[in-house]
Amino acid sequence: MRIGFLFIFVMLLVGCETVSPWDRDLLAKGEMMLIDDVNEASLKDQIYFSKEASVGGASASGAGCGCN
Amino acid sequence: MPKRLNSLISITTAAMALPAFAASPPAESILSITGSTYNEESISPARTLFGSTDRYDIDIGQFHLLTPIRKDWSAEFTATRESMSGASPWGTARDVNGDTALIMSGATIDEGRNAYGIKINRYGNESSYSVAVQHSRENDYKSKGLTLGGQWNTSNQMTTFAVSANYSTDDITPTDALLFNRIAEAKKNQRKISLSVTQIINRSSVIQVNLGYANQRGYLSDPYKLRDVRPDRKTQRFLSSKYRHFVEPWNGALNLDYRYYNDSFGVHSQTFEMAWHQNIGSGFRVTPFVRYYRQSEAEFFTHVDDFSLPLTIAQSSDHRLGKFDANTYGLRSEIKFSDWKVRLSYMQYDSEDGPDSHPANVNFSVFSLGLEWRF
Repeated sequence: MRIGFLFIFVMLLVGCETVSPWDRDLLAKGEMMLIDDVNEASLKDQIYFSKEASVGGASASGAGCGCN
Repeated sequence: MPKRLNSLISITTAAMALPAFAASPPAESILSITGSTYNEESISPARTLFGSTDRYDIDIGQFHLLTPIRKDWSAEFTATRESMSGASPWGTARDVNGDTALIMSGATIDEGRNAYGIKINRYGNESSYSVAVQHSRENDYKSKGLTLGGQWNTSNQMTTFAVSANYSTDDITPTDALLFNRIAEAKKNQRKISLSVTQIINRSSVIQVNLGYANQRGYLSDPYKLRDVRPDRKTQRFLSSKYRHFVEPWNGALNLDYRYYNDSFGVHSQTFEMAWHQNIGSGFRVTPFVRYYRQSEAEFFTHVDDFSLPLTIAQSSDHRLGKFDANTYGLRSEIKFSDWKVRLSYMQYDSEDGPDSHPANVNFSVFSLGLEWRF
């Protein structure tokens, strides 16, 4: 699976086209951000952390807790 | 007081330092305040042997401020306050029919958590660096963390490489330790590193791939369970990706996220998330989203606690270490006017439910109201 994952990523890279800075209006939109709302991302991370065994891969900040 | 002892340090994720794309100094300050209410569904009385069936309700307040402090420098401040009440599982046993049933904490508890973080960013021509500290405090749990991050852009600003490293240490002092024969004091720490590549594919698509590794040492069991013995070392690995694609004819954007995770406890999981951001006019956006999560069980997971085993043998009936599927769905809306944004969101999380599922598998809902001001 991980090999397939990397294969897809490499294929996407191969298909990249250079985008000029003045042509990045769509990429700059809020809905295109990898993290659109810091508070929402942080809250979801904490909730999922406290209810599931998995962590990582999202993007938020915070400190540890003894969450239930 | 019932408490689980899984640390959230990992949320002090190295990804904290990772940018959307190439990082640049903020041109203005951004203040975000969010209030949320989290409600878990009650447990079925038919599957509860003892204690309260009312689970957690939590009120959460969040504050985040990003502000330029000098040319090429910025600072971020975060604060979180949680007030929670409810009961949680202490363990499991067989009921008269031979099915797994829960032993819950008896009384409703009330407690709170305060967390703070400060992050300083320094921006160069084609790179940026950051240092962040985090602190969290509960009456029985303290955590401190330090995160260092760096990111480097290619000269055409099409690719961003990022690395982040985190160290955190936790102090655990369970309440009523003498009364319930719990460990009186314990420590744990974690080291984590995250690597990422963010690549612009074309003028409407971008992808990020993220690789993470974490190592935990110390007391990793849950002192509030009647019997919970876990190894004192744990390694965690994940590979994740985020893809964003804007569809111009529809004036909307597709967000796809995927994560593969495994750890030395034997848990493997996969997570898929999908959201569609639909712009309506120039200041309104609606976003339906779904998430699917599936995990395998830990090697030492047991449906029913076995008190005959010696304490040197690992075992846990914590449902979060068991095998289950979960679906999340929700709706988010955002209204923008002038320098302000108002956000409303609702999400519902449903765990697998069936005769063979763990009785503690949880369903919950979260409602949030957020305000953002740029100045």
